[in-house]
Amino acid sequence: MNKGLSLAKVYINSSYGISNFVYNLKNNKKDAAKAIALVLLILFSTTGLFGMYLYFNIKMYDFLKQVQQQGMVITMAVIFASILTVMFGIITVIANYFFNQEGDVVLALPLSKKDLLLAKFINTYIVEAIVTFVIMAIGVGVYGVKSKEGLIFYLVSIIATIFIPLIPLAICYFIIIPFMNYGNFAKKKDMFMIIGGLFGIGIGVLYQYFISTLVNINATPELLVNKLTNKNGLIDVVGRAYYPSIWVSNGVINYNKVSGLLYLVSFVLLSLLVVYVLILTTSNLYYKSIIGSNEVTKKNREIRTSELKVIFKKNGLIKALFNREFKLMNREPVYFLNGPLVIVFLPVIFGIMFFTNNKAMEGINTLLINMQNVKLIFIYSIIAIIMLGSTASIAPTSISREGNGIYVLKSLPISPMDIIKAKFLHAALFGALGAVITCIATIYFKMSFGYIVLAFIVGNLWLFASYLVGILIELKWPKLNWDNPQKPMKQNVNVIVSLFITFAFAALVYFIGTKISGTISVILLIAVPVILFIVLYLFLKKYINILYSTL
Amino acid sequence: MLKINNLSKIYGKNKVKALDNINLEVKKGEIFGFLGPNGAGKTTTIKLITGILKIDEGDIFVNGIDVKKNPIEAKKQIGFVPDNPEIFNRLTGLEYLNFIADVFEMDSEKRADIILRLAEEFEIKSALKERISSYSHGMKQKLVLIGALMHNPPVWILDEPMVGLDPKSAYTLKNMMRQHADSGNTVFFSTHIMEVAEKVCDRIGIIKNGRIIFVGTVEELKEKKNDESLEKMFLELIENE
Ligand SMILES: Nc1ncnc2c1ncn2[C@@H]1O[C@H](COP(=O)(O)OP(=O)(O)OP(=O)(O)O)[C@@H](O)[C@H]1O
Ligand SMILES: [Mg+2]
Repeated sequence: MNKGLSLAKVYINSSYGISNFVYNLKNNKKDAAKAIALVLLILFSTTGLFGMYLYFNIKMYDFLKQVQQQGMVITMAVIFASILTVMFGIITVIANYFFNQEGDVVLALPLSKKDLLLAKFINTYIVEAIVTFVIMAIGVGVYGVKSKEGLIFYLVSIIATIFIPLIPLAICYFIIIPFMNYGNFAKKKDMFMIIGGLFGIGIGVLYQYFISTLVNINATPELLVNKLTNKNGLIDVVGRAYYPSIWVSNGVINYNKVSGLLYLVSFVLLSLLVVYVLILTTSNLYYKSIIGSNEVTKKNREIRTSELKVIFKKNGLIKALFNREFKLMNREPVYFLNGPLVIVFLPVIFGIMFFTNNKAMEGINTLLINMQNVKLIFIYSIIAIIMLGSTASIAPTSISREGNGIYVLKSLPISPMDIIKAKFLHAALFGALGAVITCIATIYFKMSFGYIVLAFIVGNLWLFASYLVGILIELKWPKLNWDNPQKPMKQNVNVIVSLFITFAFAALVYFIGTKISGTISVILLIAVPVILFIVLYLFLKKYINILYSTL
Repeated sequence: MLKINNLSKIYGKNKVKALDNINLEVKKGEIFGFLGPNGAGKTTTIKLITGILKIDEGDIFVNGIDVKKNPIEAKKQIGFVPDNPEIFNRLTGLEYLNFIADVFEMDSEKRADIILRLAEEFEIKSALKERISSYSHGMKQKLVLIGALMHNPPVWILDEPMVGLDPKSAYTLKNMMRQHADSGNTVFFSTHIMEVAEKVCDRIGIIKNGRIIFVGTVEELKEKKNDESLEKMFLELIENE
């Protein structure tokens, strides 16, 4: 098993870029700072979510204390962490299947099948462990502080937490490995990625639903706690279905009793046993499913003379560049899911949120009653267009996505401005699609046609300026050296920076729309982005050659 | 025609001089072989010629056009095959070639004609409609070759073009290089292998540690064998095979 562990080390290193980070810390302070900033940003963007969870836990504790059931706080955390592990686990396991980061090199090494699976398991475990730690920290923290527990309580909790994700993650593998074999899914990588992505979006919708119910019941958290903890509530049902979760929480709560110790020891042993059984029983199947997962089904398609005219059609340069850009992005599931698809799905999620949340509806209805608020709806729709258009992240990933392909482009006689034009068009096309969807939604708010068209135009003008910002940032700080397409898309600081600048634009729109009145505000709403665009364009034009040649 | 004057290149901040004052001239009608061990600076030179890297010191002229001053015109003269054919994996072979044809403004009949002919010659016609990701290394190499050659550029710059080709295709390529040079064009290619250079090149240049240590015909190189460092180099390059 020793080899499995060292392979796991390599996996973890390459998945999370740890040694690269350590190297940067010493030699390339700027890149190290960027990595830290990225982590902080992610943490920052989740504080709201965890804050809400923390608040809920405190309420729950106080409420349960009255009936001497405060231990449920821990049970709830364990169950919640286990459910999340299964959900994220399925996604990470599938993703790990397909980002065959090791390539064929690892398969060619003299490693046993068990080692391969163990290494993969450990690699996916890291993500789950982080999520579990955060969830458990909140539950254990609330319980610990409120019950004035000592150091040993926290130590026991930490040890228990380490083992919590093992069984749920093993379950994910038990589900997915046979799937990959019998459905021959491993060879339908793209389809699977998209299904996985839709699954992720589904979780997003569920989560939104959950949050909106949370907010609704906010006035009386007791109600929700009741819902969760009564007979046939969530805790009861999951606790019965996944009994070991009760063992952990009993173990943690009764850490100073013999029974607690026994509970914990049995949980740890069971967890290890399950993982061991997983490795023992499925490593053959796993191996079978990764071998040949890179094959592409070939249909021997001959070129017929009748289709020559269509196939070899001549295109203008910009169109050719655009086609290339479009295909390269939308045929790569990682790009497609995190980019263009978001433009369609975000409105769907909002729609669901909107219709399941009665309070929001009431707010809108009062808005509608006061017809002077037409302008407010107008401003909101512009902001919605700007936000939605920027979520596709096409412009702020435009250079990084090229990866090594940029060198082929650079060797061709294409002026850099033409390349940028094609990329800009690509971003603008999807931005306009988002704008159309937003405009259709605004019909519901009885906005007049003239205003809808105006919102469409103004929103897109602001977006145009934001695309130029994204492209400029990318030209200056591209991320071209990557081995899997997650990196230029999801681990790209430029995306976040550009998103923040877009938010600033949206804030500016809000300011102009609400603080300045009448026609002047409309003129400003149009003039400001146009001037911004012109300034950015002139800047780009001046520096593009030097930026492009140093890529 | 290709002319390189006082070309130097330092990568990044690590102060390693990858190229140190290179001077070269390749004439029309000539096949020039660029030899050297791993890490000598062959690819770096080629990347500077093709405008992939920024020229910091020195000048390069392709058919008399200054690469620094007029990069786009210079690139129009060049057909380039990179050392690593990992390109645009999500496109099909056909889409890739069409893209290149659009860049070089080839009209539709001409490109159909040439692409089909070259694909036939290199035996990848039946794979053209497949995604490039499903190609073997040699197939990718052939596709890139077709892309580089189909617009009939006057200067060919090929970075280790024989690597990965089967013997028949390598033979085809060698013939094409000869033909191209014989009709008054320039072929510049890098290789590790002395034998290849000996068979197809009119002249060779040997680069080591970023410096040109020999330029001339293979015969001249053999005559100079009493030069100790050249002798060693020669042996290294032969053993490389
Ligand atoms: N991107 C880069 N950053 C830093 N140094 C580089 C980079 N690319 C190449 N080098 C260095 O430049 C030198 C020349 O490399 P180059 O790739 O030109 O060699 P080569 O002659 O093509 O070798 P090979 O026969 O292996 O292809 C080497 O010392 C290499 O380490
Ligand atoms: Mg090289």
